Amino acid sequence: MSGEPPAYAALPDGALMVLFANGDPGAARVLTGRLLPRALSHAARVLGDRAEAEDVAQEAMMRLWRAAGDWRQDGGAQPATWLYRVVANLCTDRLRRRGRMDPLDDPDAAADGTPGVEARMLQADRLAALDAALATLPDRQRQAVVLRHIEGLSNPEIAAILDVGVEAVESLTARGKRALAAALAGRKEALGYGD
Amino acid sequence: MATERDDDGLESFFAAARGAGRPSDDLVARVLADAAAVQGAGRAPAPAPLPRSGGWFSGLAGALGGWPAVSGVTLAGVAGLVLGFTAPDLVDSWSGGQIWSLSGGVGTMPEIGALWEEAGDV
Repeated sequence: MSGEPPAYAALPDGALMVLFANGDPGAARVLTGRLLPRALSHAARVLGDRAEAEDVAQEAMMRLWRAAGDWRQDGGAQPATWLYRVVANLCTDRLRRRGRMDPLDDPDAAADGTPGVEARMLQADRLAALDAALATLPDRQRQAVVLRHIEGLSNPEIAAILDVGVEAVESLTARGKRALAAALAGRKEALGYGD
Repeated sequence: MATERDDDGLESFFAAARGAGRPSDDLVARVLADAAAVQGAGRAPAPAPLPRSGGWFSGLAGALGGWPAVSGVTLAGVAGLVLGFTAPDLVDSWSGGQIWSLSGGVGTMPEIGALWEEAGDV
């Protein structure tokens, strides 16, 4: 999904939503290329399960398509922010259904496509360790940490997604990071992150 | 992207997670299929094909119930015409003598000459 057609490259997501609503199939491809990786990454880190994350990402994108007809190009929410919010809510629903989160059962499910067996395994181990540590956090802390430090969103953006104040976001991320650091303290050397 | 001091050594873990969300081709295909389905459902349904334009006679035939009905009406009309020409007395007897009296005594088949005479009288 890399490389957008020149006609679409300069268009913001909101304009693409309007094009999509008008039946432009190219807009769907570009929006998928821009937003699906973010939705999937967010869901994968929060849920710690790749297959579940794919289901959530697909469902969130479906809701995005359905919302396109009523999308306002100016003054409305940013599609990315809107999508993160949907993903966050879908993840919360799944975590509630699951009960208290168990550590990741299948670390390989989070493996990335890094070439080489050893590199791939090491990457999978790192992600599994991170996911397991994230799983120990309360839902809101986990969402805030993922959105801030993995997805790279600003605190105001996260506040809009989680429907809380900016100060609450700062508190959530700070507490979440402290808990993560404690959970991962003993794993850094084993995972090739030794200082 | 967040740029903060990595005092707690977490940045390396976060970096490993970034970009790990590359969707599979299968997921992309599913999402695009959903998009196509939503776009297809949102599109206005194709208008029903208009009836073929056949002029006023087709319209009349449609009003009468279609071509089968028209053929029935035509058959009845032709049969009545034949019956009137070949057996006018029979028609008059069926009417109980009403046609005779309504026609002023000229019957169902007045002589054509009588019409000329009437025109000439005017």
